[in-house]
Amino acid sequence: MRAYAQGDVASFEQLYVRHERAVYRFLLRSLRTPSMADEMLQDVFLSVIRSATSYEPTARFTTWLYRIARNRLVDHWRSHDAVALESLDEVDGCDVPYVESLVAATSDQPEQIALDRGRAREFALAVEDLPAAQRETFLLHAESGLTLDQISAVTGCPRESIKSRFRYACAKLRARMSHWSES
Amino acid sequence: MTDDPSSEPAVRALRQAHALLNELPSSGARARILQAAASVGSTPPRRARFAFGGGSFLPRWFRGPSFAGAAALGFVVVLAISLALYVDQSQKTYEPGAKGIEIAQNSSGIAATPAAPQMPSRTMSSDRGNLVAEAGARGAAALSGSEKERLAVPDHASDLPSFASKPRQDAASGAAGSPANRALALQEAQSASGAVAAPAKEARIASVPDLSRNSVGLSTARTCAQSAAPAVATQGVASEELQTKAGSPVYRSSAKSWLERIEALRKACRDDQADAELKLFHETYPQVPVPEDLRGP
Repeated sequence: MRAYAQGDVASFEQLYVRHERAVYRFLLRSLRTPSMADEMLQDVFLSVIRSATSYEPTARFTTWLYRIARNRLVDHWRSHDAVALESLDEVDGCDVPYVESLVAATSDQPEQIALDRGRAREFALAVEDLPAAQRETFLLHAESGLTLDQISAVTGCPRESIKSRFRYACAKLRARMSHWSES
Repeated sequence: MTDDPSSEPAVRALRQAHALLNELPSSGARARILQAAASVGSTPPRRARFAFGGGSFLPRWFRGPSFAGAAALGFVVVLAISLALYVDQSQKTYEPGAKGIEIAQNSSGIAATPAAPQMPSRTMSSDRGNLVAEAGARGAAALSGSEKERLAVPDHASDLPSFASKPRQDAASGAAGSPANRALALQEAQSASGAVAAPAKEARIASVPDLSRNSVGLSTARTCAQSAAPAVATQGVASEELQTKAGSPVYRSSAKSWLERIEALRKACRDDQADAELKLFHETYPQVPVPEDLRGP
């Protein structure tokens, strides 16, 4: 990023190629519409370009990038989808006893399930159906490789809340995967 | 949950799904992003912020009210500097002593030297005011010789050159034999007789040595940077203008001061005047021998 701020365009292209897919999928799972994800991807990277001269490497670039992406999503939901915004702001986002039962029920499920393209699409839809806060936490941890502390820095939520959200998201997804193994 | 997301089956499933679905942004979005990055990256960093700001390439400080404020501030600074220079110049050209000397000339009829107005009027006028007040308070009472000396020579007597201060001392001590001394003696007698104009006359008497002192001091200060001989000549020329009320120069009040005057004229290469003064000196003091070096070429 500092190289790009000095005028090295090739360094930005390298940076873009490295993060393009992950950010796009994070946006696509959140917005569900490829065109909107395209548009928001442009917004996110144009923000990066504008902020290149004032960028201070106080944290990982990935953390900074996903903070921009999340802020864009919050702005979008604030103007379009108030329900999704409320779901993003809630602490746990689900019924705890129900999730605990899900975790107990899926604890003995096979760890590896072979996916075909149809199942992959179904799994993607299951991720999109997660509550916004859990989906965000799951995608940031699973897709982008951010740690709990980094997700906490991106979202501004406590670490324990992030941890519980991730557990609930995984429990729901494993419950969906259990149907595939039964069938 | 650990920090390794690959240990979670749901995470592994998500990665498999992404690999199968191969979801990518549109080529148009990628092209626009890379084009924007190239356009901004090719410009200098200072211009980068304006690439998305409506096409204005003017610096931010050059737009809006900030530039007007900076221009107004600059104008005020220039105005303040000009005013300070004008005041400084006015203080340099202002001669406060000129007015006081003019008043002294009008009241006493004594010719002041051109250099006398250079002195600050505060000292002269305050001294004169003190003298007038003191003499008025005494009224018709006779002044002793020491009091006259104190009034005639204020606290700068030690700074005076010898040829300028001695005639005054001679006059104060009542030395007779020259027109100047006779005039001074007449003034002293009038002041001692209790005349109404005594304070004014005392002030006149006091103003003569003041002017002599001031002109000599300033002349000396002016010519110190040049050479010793012109300095002496200038002092002599300045004292030449000083006359008593009877019209005779002060330096003619004694033979010694007269000879010093002639010596100053010789050093200033004003031999014609020196010869004339020497001739008058011989007529006045025929018994006083003249040094060899003052007799002229």
